[in-house]
Formats: sequence, structure tokens, C-alpha cells
Amino acid sequence: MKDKIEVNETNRDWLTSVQKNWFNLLVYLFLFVWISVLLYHVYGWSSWYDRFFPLFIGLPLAFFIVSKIAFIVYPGLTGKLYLDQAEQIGGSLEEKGLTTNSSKKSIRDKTERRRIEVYMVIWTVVLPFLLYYLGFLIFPAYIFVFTWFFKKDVKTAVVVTLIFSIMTFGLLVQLLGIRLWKGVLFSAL
Amino acid sequence: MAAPTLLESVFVAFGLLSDPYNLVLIFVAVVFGMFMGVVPGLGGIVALSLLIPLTFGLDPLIAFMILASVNGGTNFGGSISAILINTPGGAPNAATLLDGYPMAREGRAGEAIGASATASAAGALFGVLVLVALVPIMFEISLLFGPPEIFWLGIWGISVLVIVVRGNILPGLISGAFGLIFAMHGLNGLSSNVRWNYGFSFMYDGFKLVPALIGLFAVAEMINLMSEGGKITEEDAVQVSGGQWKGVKDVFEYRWLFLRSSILGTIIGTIPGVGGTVANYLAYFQAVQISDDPEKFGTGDVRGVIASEGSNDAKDGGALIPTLGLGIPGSAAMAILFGAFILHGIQPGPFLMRDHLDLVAVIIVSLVVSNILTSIIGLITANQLVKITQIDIELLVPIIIGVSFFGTYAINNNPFDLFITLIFGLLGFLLLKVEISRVPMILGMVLGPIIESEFFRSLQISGGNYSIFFSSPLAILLIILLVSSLVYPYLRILVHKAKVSQ
Repeated sequence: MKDKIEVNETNRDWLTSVQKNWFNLLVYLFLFVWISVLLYHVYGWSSWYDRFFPLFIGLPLAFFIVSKIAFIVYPGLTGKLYLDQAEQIGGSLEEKGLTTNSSKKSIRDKTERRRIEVYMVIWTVVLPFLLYYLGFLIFPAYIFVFTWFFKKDVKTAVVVTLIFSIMTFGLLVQLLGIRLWKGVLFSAL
Repeated sequence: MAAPTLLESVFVAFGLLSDPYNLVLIFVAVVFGMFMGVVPGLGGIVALSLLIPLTFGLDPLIAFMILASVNGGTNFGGSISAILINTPGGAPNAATLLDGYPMAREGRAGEAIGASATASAAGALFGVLVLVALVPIMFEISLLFGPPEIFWLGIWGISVLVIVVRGNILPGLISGAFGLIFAMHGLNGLSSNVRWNYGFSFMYDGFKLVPALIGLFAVAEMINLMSEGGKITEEDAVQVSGGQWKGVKDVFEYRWLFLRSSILGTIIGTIPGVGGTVANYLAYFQAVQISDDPEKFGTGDVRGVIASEGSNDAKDGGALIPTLGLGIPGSAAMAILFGAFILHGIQPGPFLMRDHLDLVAVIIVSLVVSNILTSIIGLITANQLVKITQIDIELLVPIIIGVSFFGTYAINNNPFDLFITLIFGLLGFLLLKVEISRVPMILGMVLGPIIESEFFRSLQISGGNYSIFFSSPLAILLIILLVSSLVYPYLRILVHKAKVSQ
């Protein structure tokens, strides 16, 4: 199969270094915008009990993120400053164990991995909305379509759906006495 | 009526565990823990995250019996895949493969599994014994920790964690600080005002811990695993064909090495926030350094397996000391267990020892029983267990994603919690991609409310005088430890540069 090509890549290096830098930059920018918006709100709070800790933690956090962005944009800075250079004690140890000996390799090529990740994110985002609007009875149908979408095998999808349904509806709902959410749409009917 | 002693509580706990129904629950929990431990990418944190909501409806004693048993199962499960397929189930088993896998390649897989099983069970027993020995005085020790000391201990816990997880310091600091910020969302108990609710009324409760950690660990890992595709591992497992008994005897032969490693593991466990990876590797390296023939390590020396597994399991007993005694989680797994305590309305800390000694005893006994059970099951079924890693990821992911969201809802029967899991699932996936550890974030979320409330409580006690934070010897000691842990990595760079320039 075309998508079953063995590629010698670890989990983290499926992006080229340039793409990886851009991706990292975007993520840190997103985190910076998030913390900036949160800090902006803090100045609207009157109580010292409310403001003190968010500022005490939030301002250094914003500084750390800006520093990280600076190190990504100007990689030469790391040679001059120590802030981004310090290795954590366990870091090198863990790296040694997990990267030099690990046999876990992706069987997919870069494009395929990115495509699957996008699909997975979409499937994950859709699920809570489906459950919220249509209730938990939609869950087995979701699991069936999800498995079929990735495996393209109806029999496998049925088996996975059955396992999931027995585990959750058969066992957990009975054991824990959970009252399942009917969904906004069905509750309104 | 006098409060029960620990011994009486332990007897009661044994009574509880001897009930056939509870024994079956322990057995199922151990098998589930081993399953999660064997599968690389899942492990103890994901296992506990998934189980907390599912055990929430049970009696607290039964719920913590199950959670402790799962924790016992995951530790040894990870070593089986490390030895047989050269891939640790989790980072805390990473050092085990350095000698475990070469042993397996030499046809000594049984000996490695036997040594790992025995060292794991005995290590866990050692850590628990230390915990039991400290329980009677833990209440008195914990009274030394007033609000200022708890405040510094919490800050130190996050700073230590930041420098021991993988990668460099800056991302760790960012992760920990974000965790603290997330903890401040919702209703502030000190002012009765709501902070950052994004316009949603369900956010008055803030980001709830368990839905957040299910998202950060279980959901994020599943998105990542799915993209890798195929089986959990493509490596063929080495078969175990006898020799387990020799491995058992090896532990007794190298008893002093085992004891040193267990002591090290227990001590490292007591340091708030430090997990099994550090215990595992430090024990391995001390074994190499003290050995007369260090060149043998890494080539299939059973001492490497004994040292790493002994310390890895001993750290759990140590990690329970700050978790139960001070209310400061000793490791990432303990941070999750901490979330379970809060969910059951129990506050870990000094009064837990006084008011819920029965619960402490159940955790202790469950850890002992589950570790012994895990080792026995592992010794018998290693060949079958490792086949789990041949399961197709695409079959595993939908079930775990489904159970994750199902579990999130089950905690409070609140559909809005599903969105918290989603937000943290996506955030966790982003953090995975940019190589920011998620563990400091969870610890920040657990410690955030404690740090903030103890800070203001200190000021209330002192009438607004900040000198209270520097007035006791214990507070000064914790400040020194905090500064040292933050400065140490930079000092290392300076020393290294000085050496290079020379």
C-alpha cells in the first residue's frame, strides 16, 4: 500500500526544520495572544485578591513567551543568552532512552501524517458538538462512522462499535447509574 | 471513642480487599493497568485520567482501591514492552531497556522479566514500608508546614518539575505558568468574583481538573497516535522461554544494589513533582558508577534492570508522602490522584491522616497487593501481554476517544465538560507538536489554588506583613531549594563553557 511506506522518522521530525519553525512560531504567537487577552481583562478587575496572582504569574509568562518567540525568530540569540539553553536535568536522560533505543516509527509519510492529523482534529472537534446537540445515543453511530472512515472495513467498524457500546452503555451506564444526556435538539422536542 | 491506629486501619483494609467482589475489581484494575502500561504512549497518567470519572460514583474506599491498583499495574507493564520490544511503555521505564532489551536479544528475556517483576514488587513494597513508617509522625511533620511553607513548597514543586521534564527550561516554565493561569479561571473563593469565564456560565467553575487532564493526555495522545498509524509497534517481540526464576534470584543476589536503588527512588518520589523518569535514570547511573565493571552495563546486565525497576516502583510510596501528608502531589500520577481526592470531596493534607486513615490504609494495601499481583501475572503472561502492542492503532483510538468523552460527562453529568476536554485535547496536541511538556501544566492546575490561597492566608495571619514568607527556617530552606533548582541548569552551562574554554 502506498501509505504504508516505512519512513525513518521519529514522531517529532515529520516537519522540515523551516516548517517546524513556522509552526512553533504560530503556536507561541497564539499562546501570546491568549495570555495578552487574559492580562488585558485583569486590569478591569477592581479587587486586589483577583488581580494579584494573575499578574504575578501572567506577566512573567508573557515575558517567557516573547523570549521564546525571539529565540525562534533569531536563533543566534541562544548563543548569547542562557535563557533558552539550559537543559532540564531529566531531558537529556529521557532523550537517551526514548530516541536512541525506541523502535516506534511512523509507517506513514509526511503528507499522509499531516492529512490524518487534520482529519483527527476535525473528528475530535465534531464529537462534543454532536453529543451536545444530539445526545449520547449518537455515540455508537459516531464510533462506527469514525472506524469505517479510517479502516474502510464495515466488519471492523461493527466490532469496534460493539466493543465500545458494551463497555460504555452496557457496563458503565449500568454500573455508575449515569443519566445520559439526551441532547439539546431532542430535549426541546 | 479513640481514632483507629494505622495498624487497625490496615487490618480493615485487608478485610475490604479480601471480599471476593473487591478482589475481582483489583484483578481487573491490575490487568487494565498492565494493558495501559504495556502500550507505549498510554501509560499510568492516561489510565488514571480515564478511570477517575468512571470510579467517581463508587464508594471512595473502593474507588481509591481501584486507582491505586491501576497505578501498581502500569509501572511493571511498561517494563515488559521495554524488555521485549525495545520500546518503554512509558518514560519511567526508559532506562530498563538499556539492559533489558540486550538481555532479551541474548535469549535471556525470561531472566530480565523475572528480575524486573521481582524488583518492581519489592521496590513498591519498600516505598510503601517507608510510607507506613512515616504515617504516625506525618501529622506532626505536616504541622511544621504553615501557610507560608506550603506556599513555598508549591512553588518549589512546580520549579522542580519544570527542570526535570524533557526539553529545555523555557517551554517547561511556559507550561507550568499556563497551568497556574488555568487554575485561576472561574469563581475566586477569596473575593467571590468570577475571573475569566469567556462569557459562559459553566465557566464559573473554571477549567475542571479531570476533564482538562483527560483532554491533555488521553485525547491529545490519541490524535498523535492515529497519525502514526499501523500497529502500536512494528517491532517483533522477543519471546520469553524460561529463565524467570533466575531473574528472581538475581534480585536477591544483588540485594544491596536493589536496596540502594529503592532508597533513591523513595527519596526522589518525596520531592514534589519529580516523577519516575528521574528515579529510573538516577538509579541506573548510580548502579553504573558504583559498579566495578561499568562497561558491562548497556550490554545486557541484569543489574541495570534491577536498579531501574526497583527505584521506579519505590518512588510511588515516596510520592504518596507529600501528596497525602501535605497535599502537594509528589508526581504527575499523584497530581491526577489528587484530582480524584478533590472529586470525592476529600482534601489531601495533614487532616487526611487524622480523618481518613482508612482511606490511606486502603491505598497502601492496594498498592502492595496490586504490585505483587502485577508481577505474578507479568511473569506468567509476558508473551501474551506483549501481543497487545500488535493491536492496530486505528482500532484502539476510537474506543479510547469514546471512553474519554464518556468519562468526562460521567463525572458531573454535565455536557459542557465535554468542551473543556475538547479545548485541552487540542491544546495538548499543539503542545505535543511544539515539544512542550504537559506535565507542568497539570501540576500548575493542581497547585495553583493551593499556592494562591496559602499566599493570602499567610498575609491574613501576618496582617499584611510580607516578612512572614521569610520568617521560619523551613521557609528559608524551601526558598534556597527553589533558587538552587532554578539556577542549577544555568550553572551547568557556565561550568561546561569554562571547561571547554580551558
